[in-house]
Amino acid sequence: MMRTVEVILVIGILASAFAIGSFFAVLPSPRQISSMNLQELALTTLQMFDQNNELNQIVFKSNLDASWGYLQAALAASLPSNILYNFTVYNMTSNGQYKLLNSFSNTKTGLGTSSETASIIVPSSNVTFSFIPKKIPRTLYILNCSDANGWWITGYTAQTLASNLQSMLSPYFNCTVMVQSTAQLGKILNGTSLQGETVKNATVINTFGEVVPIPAGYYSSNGIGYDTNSKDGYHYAEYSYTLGKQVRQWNWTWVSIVGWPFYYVSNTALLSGKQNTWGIYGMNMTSTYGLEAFLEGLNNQGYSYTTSTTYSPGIVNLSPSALYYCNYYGIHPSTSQTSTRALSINNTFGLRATSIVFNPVGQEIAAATYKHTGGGAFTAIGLTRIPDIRVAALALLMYYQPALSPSMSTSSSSTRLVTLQLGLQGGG
Amino acid sequence: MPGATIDHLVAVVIFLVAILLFVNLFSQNLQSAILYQRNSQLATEASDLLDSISLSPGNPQNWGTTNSTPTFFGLQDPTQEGYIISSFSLMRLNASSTGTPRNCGNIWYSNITMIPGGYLFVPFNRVVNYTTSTQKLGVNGSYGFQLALIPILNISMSQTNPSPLQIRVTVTGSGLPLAGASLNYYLINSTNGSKYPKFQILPSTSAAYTNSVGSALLNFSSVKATNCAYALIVYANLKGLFGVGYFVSPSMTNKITPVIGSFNDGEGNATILLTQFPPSNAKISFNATLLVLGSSVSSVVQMSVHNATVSLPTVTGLVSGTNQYTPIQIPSKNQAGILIITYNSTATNAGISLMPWGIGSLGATLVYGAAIPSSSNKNWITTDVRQVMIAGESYEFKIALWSLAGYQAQGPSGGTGV
Repeated sequence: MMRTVEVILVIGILASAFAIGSFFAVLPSPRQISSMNLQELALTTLQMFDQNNELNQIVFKSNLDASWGYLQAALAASLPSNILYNFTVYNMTSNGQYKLLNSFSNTKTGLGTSSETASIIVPSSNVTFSFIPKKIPRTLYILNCSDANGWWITGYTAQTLASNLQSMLSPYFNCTVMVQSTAQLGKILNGTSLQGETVKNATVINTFGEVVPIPAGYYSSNGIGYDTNSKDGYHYAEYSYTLGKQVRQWNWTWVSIVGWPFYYVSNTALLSGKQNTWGIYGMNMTSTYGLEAFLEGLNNQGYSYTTSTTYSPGIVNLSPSALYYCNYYGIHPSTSQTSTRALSINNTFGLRATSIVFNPVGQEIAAATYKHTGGGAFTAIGLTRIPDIRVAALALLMYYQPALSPSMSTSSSSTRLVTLQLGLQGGG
Repeated sequence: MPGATIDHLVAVVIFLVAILLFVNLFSQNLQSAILYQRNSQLATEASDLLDSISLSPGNPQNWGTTNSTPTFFGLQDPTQEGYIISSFSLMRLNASSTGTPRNCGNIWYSNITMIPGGYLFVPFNRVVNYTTSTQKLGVNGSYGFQLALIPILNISMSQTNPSPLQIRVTVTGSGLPLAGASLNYYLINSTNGSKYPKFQILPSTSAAYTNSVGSALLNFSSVKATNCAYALIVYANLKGLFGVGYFVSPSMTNKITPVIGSFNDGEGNATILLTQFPPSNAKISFNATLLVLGSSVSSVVQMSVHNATVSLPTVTGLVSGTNQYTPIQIPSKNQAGILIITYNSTATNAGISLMPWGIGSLGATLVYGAAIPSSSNKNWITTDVRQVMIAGESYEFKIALWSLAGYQAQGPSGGTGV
């Protein structure tokens, strides 16, 4: 009998263990096991209604406006029939508090404890967001010479490119000056200010593509811009040499926006009877000698009449650094472009590539800014035509890296917090 | 002594029975907990998979407008952000919601279900089948799924008067009539020309609004349905909820139906084959025009087609003979549109066929994936939903997911999940 009593006691202990175990091992309700992701559903619903700024137009209206009723109908039509919702709009006050403005729901009994909420902030249309760049303490010269022609800027004129570059880059520079003629170019080459700006340390963007404007007079004279001994008729290669020297002297950053830099010179008056072999008059070819001469001048070495070389790596991709600055400055050129005039001049002529726009292909770099150890810099965009001036702008901003400060202009009661709480019918 | 033996025997029997009972009770609890855990994990997987498909365009990003097979499966519109689905990627799916396949030039085409007058035939050799997508998503052999993209707004139409033409439009959502919805529309009106059918588009000059039962009457005083073929395309909008519907007048027996020959010919064009259905030797002349929609369908209509919609040079031609087709080319750029084909064979017979270039442009419903297992199999099936936009239209994007691992649902709710 004792054994039976002992067994009954053991059963009692096991029953107690089961009861205690079951008490603590509480299983969730079946509805919680495999429910819809209500938070995501709520968020995508709000995003859908905000897609065409419809929410923006409603949540700032009076509570008596008929639009609220239509919104309620649209909400009911968009959600599955077994979903309960509570739609609420708060006003976000300037001191960080939320004030209830309007709310409607399709249930009076509440949504239960398993409901989920998503929210979005809806700014009024009179809120503006902007970024204020910290100014680069330099003058930006954009060549806009009316007495020169461009080449490899197919579909554009230098003047339209200059105008676009001005609107794109002038917010970042202390001062932006459009160089309206080759004569004005001659002045700044001499170090003479055009509008009281600082000539030294300036950035000069050549919008003429493979052509560089040449001033008449001193800069096209023998031994300065004209090489009487050059073979093949490419006499003006020496002008590129002088340009290189001036870039070094004034510590300029010279920007070539497309193609083979310094391949031609142009002055419609000076070279009125000459053409670039493609029928564009007012232009004379310096061929491959121009680039080499410029680099020699920049490097402060003697002038020699020597050919330069460019390369065709083909498809090139933006470097990780360039992709970062694309997002930072909001400039988004195509991430893959075609390069047929890439340079391989890094660590030659005293140059070092400091900001590389496209991933190098071997030693060939499609676009980069090269800083010279003795002063001056050279930004060369060796892409094929048609020029994408966003690449040139990006290259410059990568080089100077001006900081951006966010700024928001608001008026009172200009922001609403909209929440959508969803629950399932019969939810706990 | 015998009493002690009996005591032992009784005790052992009671003990064994008790042990068996408690083992069973504990194992039931454990089994429920394991099932709950698995089902919960399945729900999480469904949500993750739906987000993964909705928020990634796949690789290559433009696979929807090419003939290539993606190396990663995703349906997001590569030109947009957020829950915006590419109507072109959807067009390349081997849909489950299909009618009778069509054969043309010895190639079979999937017949994506549309309401009468609308046609979307996709070549089976160009579509991404379910097995491929499970492999690209990394769920092959572990989970089965079905995707359903359903327009939130249902726009139905009926002709209430033929001359002058009057059409009743009814807008509903989740079964509820939608009052106060604005309706923008255009009527495509085709009459017989001297050689090819003549064609004109009559856009709405101002929006119409649905009444308290969600319907509105549209009047076209200059159109007589008795002597023309017409198609009406209506865009509805209620405070951010967008939908599109169409109605095509009954047409002649021999129809011209478009099928997609190629999504991209390598030069930026898609090839559409115009075929006769049912096949016959009758000669039917046609006039084909692609309406390219803007980024927002409603904005196109509000701007009255004539500004924002680009009408490509109209193609005219002749389709005749059994199993014969006439190829035409349309740009395969990332812009949704509607291919409109008007046709006629005699002085009295005429018709119109519509083909959406991109699933969303005519509000088609698409179901893709495996058939949902029968509830008698006691598989636990979890579902999840997102609200998405396709070609400017509001859609419900639903996934149903189940495990292929072999366990069955025996939880308290039994059967299928929510």
